[in-house]
Amino acid sequence: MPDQDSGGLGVTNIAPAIRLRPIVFLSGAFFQYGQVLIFREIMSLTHGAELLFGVTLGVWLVWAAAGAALGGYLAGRRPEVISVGLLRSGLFLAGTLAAAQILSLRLINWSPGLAAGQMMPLSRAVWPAWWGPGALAFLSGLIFSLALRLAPESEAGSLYRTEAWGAAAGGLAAVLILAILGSPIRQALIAGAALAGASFFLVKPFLRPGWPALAGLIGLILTLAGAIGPWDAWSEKASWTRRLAGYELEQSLDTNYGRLTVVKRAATGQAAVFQNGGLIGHVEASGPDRMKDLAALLAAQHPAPRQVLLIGGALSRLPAVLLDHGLERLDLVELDPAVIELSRNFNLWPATDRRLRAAAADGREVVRRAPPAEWDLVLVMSPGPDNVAANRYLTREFFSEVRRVLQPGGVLGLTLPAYGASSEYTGPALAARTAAVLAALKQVFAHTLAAPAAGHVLLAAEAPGLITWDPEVLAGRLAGRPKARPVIETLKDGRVERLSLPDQALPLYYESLFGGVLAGEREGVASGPPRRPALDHFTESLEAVSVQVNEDDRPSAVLYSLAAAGHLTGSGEGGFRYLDLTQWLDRRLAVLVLAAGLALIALTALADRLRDRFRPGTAGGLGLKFGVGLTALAAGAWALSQETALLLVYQNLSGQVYLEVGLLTAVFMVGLAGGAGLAEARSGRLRDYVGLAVLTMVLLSLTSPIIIKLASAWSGRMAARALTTALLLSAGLVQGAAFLWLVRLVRRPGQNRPAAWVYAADLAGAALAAPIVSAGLIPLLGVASSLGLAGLPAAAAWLGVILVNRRIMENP
Amino acid sequence: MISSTAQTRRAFLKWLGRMGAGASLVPVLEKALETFGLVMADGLVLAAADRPGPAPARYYRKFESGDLVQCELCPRREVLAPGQTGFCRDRRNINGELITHAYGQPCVVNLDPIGKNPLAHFYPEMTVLALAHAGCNLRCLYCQNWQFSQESPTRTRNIVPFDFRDAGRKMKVKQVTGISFTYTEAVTAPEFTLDFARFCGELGFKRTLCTAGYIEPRPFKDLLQVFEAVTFTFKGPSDDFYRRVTAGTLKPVLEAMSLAKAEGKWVEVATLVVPTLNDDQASLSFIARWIKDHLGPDTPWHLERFDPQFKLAALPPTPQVTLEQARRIGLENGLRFVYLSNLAPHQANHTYCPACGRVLIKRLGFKLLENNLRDGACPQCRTRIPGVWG
Repeated sequence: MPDQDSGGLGVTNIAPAIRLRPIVFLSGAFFQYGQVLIFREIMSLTHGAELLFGVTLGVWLVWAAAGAALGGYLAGRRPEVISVGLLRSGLFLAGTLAAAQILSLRLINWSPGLAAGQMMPLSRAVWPAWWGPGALAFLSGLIFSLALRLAPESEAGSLYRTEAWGAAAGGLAAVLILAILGSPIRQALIAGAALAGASFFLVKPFLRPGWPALAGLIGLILTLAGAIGPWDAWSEKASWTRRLAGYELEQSLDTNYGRLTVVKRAATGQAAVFQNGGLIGHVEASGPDRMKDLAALLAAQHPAPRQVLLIGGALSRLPAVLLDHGLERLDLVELDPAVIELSRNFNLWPATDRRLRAAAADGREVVRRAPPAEWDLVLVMSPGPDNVAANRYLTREFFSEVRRVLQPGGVLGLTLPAYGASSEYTGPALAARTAAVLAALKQVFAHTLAAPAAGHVLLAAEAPGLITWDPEVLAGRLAGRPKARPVIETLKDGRVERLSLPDQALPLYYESLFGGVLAGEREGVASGPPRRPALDHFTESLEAVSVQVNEDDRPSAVLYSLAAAGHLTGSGEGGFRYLDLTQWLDRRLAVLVLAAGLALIALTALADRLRDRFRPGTAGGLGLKFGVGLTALAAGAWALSQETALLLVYQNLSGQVYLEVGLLTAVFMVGLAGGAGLAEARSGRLRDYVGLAVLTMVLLSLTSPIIIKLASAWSGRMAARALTTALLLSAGLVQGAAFLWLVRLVRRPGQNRPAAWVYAADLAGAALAAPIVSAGLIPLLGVASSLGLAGLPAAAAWLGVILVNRRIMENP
Repeated sequence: MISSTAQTRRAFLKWLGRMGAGASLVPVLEKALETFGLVMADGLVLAAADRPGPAPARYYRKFESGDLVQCELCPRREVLAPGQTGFCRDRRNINGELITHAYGQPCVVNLDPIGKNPLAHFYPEMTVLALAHAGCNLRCLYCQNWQFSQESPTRTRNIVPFDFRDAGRKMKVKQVTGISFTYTEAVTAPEFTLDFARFCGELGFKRTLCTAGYIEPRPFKDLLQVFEAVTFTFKGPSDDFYRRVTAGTLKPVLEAMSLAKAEGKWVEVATLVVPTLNDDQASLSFIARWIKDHLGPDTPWHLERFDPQFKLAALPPTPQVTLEQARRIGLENGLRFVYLSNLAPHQANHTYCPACGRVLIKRLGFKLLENNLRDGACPQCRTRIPGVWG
């Protein structure tokens, strides 16, 4: 951005009158709160995956950077009166826009032409991700840069700090209020009314008479509208009527774990339940009992299961039919209590059977806290490793915990979705996903099996001879469980007759299960175990792909799952290209990192040189700006890499971050505020301080992976969580201090405008890092290596510092 | 240090020229990478696969000028430029000649009970060698075989080399008595389908085809000569349905079904009943009436249950009551054999005598449990049951 002087307007006289600090605090809180609401909305619209979360976060930062740049530009060219007017209008507009943005996300048809129930392609999901945060994020950047411009010279750091405190408060409020209220539009309207009203009262000296009353009236109307209007129900109904024509919305519920939606089709009485837009269960009065077949396949893997742990699957009849296998106790664990409540309302389980104990808890935590040798059978009904939260039940670390709680001769069984793919052929993306999980199982258990049945079924056991796909063996085990025996229906004299299958037909039942994958063939004369071509082909498919083991800190299955999703929702090529690209990158990573580093140095030197050549006479100033801009960009990228990776570490340690995300963001913001405060308190050679901050970034990048590895190894997880939180705080501190020092480096007396473009550069760096780290680096390299690789932007920041030093030496 | 604006512009242009020269080296670099196997012209590759070359295709015409060709296999009648691949992802124009990538490239070779085809009235005890290659000329949103139907044969893991004689020998050893081209659309590679089916016919195997029937009459007539039975997937009642859900059209499908009947083949029809898309009374009645009027009331109609899959993963499955209602519609419209599949256990999985109601063929899913037919007739009332019973 060209360097312009403000023309010597008396900004220092205006700032105290408009009480910038409360404005910045309130707007910081509001925008953070709004961000959480809008993110949740986008996740529920687009089925929520890390990739989209990263994209949305990146988009927010891009819009905010654009707003900051425009704010800085306008403030530099307009008299303060207009700037103040802009600030007031921006705040007022922001207050009214949050609810409008949520409404627009629900009411706009983002995927015209899609059939009912058709998944939104990722290429289209990007549009709501771009639109959703747009106005609010843009205003957040604009307002902050206007505030910076209007503040006295000495206040810039303080404002930055205040905004960070506000954001921390907003994050906390999101945790506390969202958990209680749940209604997003109502919350947005009430919070927006408060901000809109406050904007007029806090910018009071510039108001015309009567405006406060008008603002108060508008605020009151908004508050009342928010409090009593059925906005959420109405807009959700409209959204679902369009997305699933033919079904009626019965219930929409915002829980701590996502949005649960129940729809019903009057003509058939069938109800279907969605979580964040993804189908998780359906209930109908009568219908084929696939769960009985699944239970027959899984429960028969143990000769006589007594104690069974079932993680997931609450919203089905699986718990009920598992009990038919003669269990003494079935512990059912489901994360979201609302899902358990729904299952009870639908009468999916026997209400009076005392053997069934249902609990709303994190299954992984339940396993970790259980005494050794607690269960004969542990079953995991996974929705698939589409995101890191779901992937936690499919990692090597989790399987090790399961092995501890299995009795000698115990069995672990888990299912993964195959999105209806037939059992005859498994493509590379889906094969890679399942192979990554199977590889993790193989590292923990002595015996493993996999089959393309009911999605993909994986089995593991320590003892030999237990798990099997042999229909004869399975039929032998099932024969002793009369209640679990399958039935056959025929019509006789016009009436339906239901008969249990006789013993001799049970192997055939197993052969017929799930597309006939268990069917065997014998070469010529029957001797030895028969070949099972469908199973063999499946196993070969899994072995044909080269995969990384799925681990907590390297959730490779998420990456492969994303590739499969690309194939499912896109044209068919996208997913494979993504898989190909990531595997290609993986093989050449070291070379690529080296090349990227060299390219960065070359580009920086080239750009610096070009500045000298094409803008003669201003080399020193522009060079300094270029150095500061590069450092701010790189520092922003570094901070977001750290934040994203550390959030994931926390998620792995604690179970989930859906609720705590606001709290953790608040910690990071507190770090930013603290860092800014620390930077303000220091006086001396600023460039040395910037250098110190960047050096700390490099050191943190190098040490974080080791600290994280240590934290993961600790058995006392509270300490590990505390350590992760401390790292998050440290990242915020360093980033906050670096930002403020950078601002001060390019500030001239009587002018604060540079802060706006430094802010914009910082946000742009963060916007770049968010999607790259969340969707690319972490699944590919793992958290520890990604944290280490964040040293690359830190090194770039270091290059910026060298440039800054050079310019300061040339033009002291 | 450059000190004047004029010099700066000159310097800028010089710099731009250097950059341009550098950029022109990119294709050279790309070619070098390609030579070393790091990238392929149409994208990155994981590993080189063992793939025999493509085979010449039939059913196309060349234009008088240029290297354009027009594929005349399916109603799309695509005009392909050199290097361009058809909608089916199988047929490609290479230097003005149409080739097929699917010849001898099956990615699925399975032993299936004939009931899985689905064929309920054609040698019900037969086990068939079911085979499929990648590629399809439709884009059904609910495709169950999306992993290979929506893929090119050049990207799937194929069972190669596929030797006709070896396959025939193994089928004899395993007491397989038939073959079935199923799972994907065999009509997109009629060259392979014709050759292998003809070969199997010479060895005495029964030959069946499962198809959506989206093919031009001339190639389909050729194909029908080598099959004894055909299952058609009749997906929906209108052109609008076909366009929205399958990216095809209805008329060619209806013509293909009529042609198969006229050629004297045993024909059965399957319809996946998908909630909100084709499960209404009008749609199902249209299909049932059309089958009765054009293929005859004895044509078995298989109503299949939809499960959330492929691109319709957010659509709930077909409720049992909907399928039972659909079956009633079929029977009320005059069809005598209406089956429910992908729904077990259910009384409509079995074959009943239309005269006395006795269970003639009892099934567990698509597996045969009992066959009570006597010489193709009901053992109780001696009513002849239409079909090819062997």
